[in-house]
Amino acid sequence: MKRLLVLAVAGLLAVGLTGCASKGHKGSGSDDMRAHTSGMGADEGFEGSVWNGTDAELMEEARRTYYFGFDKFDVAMKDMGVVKAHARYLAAHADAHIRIEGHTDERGSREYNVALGERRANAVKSILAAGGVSEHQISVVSYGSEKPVDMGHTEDAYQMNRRAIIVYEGK
Amino acid sequence: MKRWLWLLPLWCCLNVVCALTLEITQGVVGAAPIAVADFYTGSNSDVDDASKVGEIIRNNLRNTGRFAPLGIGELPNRAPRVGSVDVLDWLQLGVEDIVVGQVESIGHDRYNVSFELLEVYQSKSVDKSNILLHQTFRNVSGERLRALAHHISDLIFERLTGIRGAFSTRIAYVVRAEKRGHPEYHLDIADADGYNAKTLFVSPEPVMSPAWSKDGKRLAFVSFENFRAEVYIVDTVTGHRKRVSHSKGINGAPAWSPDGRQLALVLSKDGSPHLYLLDLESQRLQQLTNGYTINTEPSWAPDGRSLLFTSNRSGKVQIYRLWLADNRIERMTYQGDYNARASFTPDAKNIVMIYRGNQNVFHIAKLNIATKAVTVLTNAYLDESPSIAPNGTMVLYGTQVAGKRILGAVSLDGRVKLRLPSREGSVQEPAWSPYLS
Repeated sequence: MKRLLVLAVAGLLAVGLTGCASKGHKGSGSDDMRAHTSGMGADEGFEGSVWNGTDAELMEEARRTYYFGFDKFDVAMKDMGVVKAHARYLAAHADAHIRIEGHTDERGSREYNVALGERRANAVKSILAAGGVSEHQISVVSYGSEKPVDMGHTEDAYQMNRRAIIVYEGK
Repeated sequence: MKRWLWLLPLWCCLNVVCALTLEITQGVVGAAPIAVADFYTGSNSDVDDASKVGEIIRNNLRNTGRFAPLGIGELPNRAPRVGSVDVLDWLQLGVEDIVVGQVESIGHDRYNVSFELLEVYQSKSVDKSNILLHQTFRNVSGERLRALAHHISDLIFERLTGIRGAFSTRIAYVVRAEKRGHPEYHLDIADADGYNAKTLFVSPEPVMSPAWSKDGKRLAFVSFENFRAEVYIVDTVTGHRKRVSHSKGINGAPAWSPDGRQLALVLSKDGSPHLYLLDLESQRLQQLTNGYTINTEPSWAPDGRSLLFTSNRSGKVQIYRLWLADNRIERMTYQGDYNARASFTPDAKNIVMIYRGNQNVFHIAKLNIATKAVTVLTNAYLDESPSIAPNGTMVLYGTQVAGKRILGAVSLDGRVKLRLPSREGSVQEPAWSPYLS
């Protein structure tokens, strides 16, 4: 069931992206998009503002998870294109809802980490809002350091845990 | 729908609770030798707790690091009756103080318990003893014997040190366990020595930040059961639970005011996380901090006139103090670029906090407010969530040993260290209760 939902969203997202992209060329937003795509690697699957990867690639975990520096809450330039692709999809599908989760690594104080995680989730949210996504489509939750994906105590583990995730919510 | 099942008061039917055991890992050189005999039980030695009263007192005194109780095998009489101590026999042990007692069954699982604290010394080559304490407790139920042993420990500790004992207090903490491959979070309470652990709440989503009410009857805490941080209050006796804050964004870091009427907490409903006061009776909310920075972890001064909190308003994470009379904010920490989760010692002369030293290691440290001197108290890798005993002698905190989260305790002077390992699950975020009587 969950898998079907993921595939369905993947399909919609891909359609949404192509739709937006073709429109986007006429709009002013496309300049913005190109500016950021120049900073992205070829493996990101974008050519200009057109998504040319597969649906499966688009829905990969990595494309909905954005990593942050230590004690930082600014979205990396390389992630901008993908976040904006989500923005276009959500703006075009007013009935779609997402939850943005913010997380930190285990170091430091727990409640401070909840605050820091919320900053990360809000950084993603503000890009979506700037892309025309309605406030009602987005909920934000910070788990701070309470839900690590990597239980290790190395720098690599910490990097994996400092993240914000977009989760598409079923109705 | 399913998640609402977690809202049922579960603690009464949960008997599988992670037991904690207290181990002293570093004591004080020069701890006072003391002889604590087993309590005389006559034919009642089959009653488990009756035979353990002396042992509980021995362990309590040892775990303060201030006393070095002799092994039971070293005593001339393992369990003498009250009044039967021959001073000469005991003086040879090199102790100054002796504790003896007895537990007498009066039927129906009821007991009369008495004890004596004796001071022994040599005067003009005559061996003497003084009775420092002598007390009898009548009609004590079998299930209260352990609590009575803690009470007697409190009396002895106070008589010998001048400091009120904190053995009759409790601790709360969060346990993260695995169940069928999924995490499960428990809010547990136990006696200060780790015994009588009881689960108050279980959830598949994180549980955080337990905080005791000043009467020690209720706990405020944060639960993510609805996929967001919300503040709840749970009654430790009935298990009854009530949600008290569920604004948009963060609802976190609850802290009871000393008068018990207000909860300081953190809300991010208008953007940045800020300190608020929630009046529990009227539900009125008062915002205390403003601006675009992070403000969190409020902690009350003992007199209720100011609050410590953590903020990044200077660019670094530091401790600030907010005076409620005029909302004046004063920066408290300057040493180190990360100081967080501060709380006052009961005399309000020191602050205990998380302090980041070099190489990204986090320790528990003490800041002397008058001198601004910082003393690092712990030496593990990721120490967190310090909580001070109500008598100000020890700090309980979360730490990691071999990658596993356990509780540790350290004396305020850093000289005594204890661990409370758990057999299962990882244990975090301890909160020491206030005095309960």
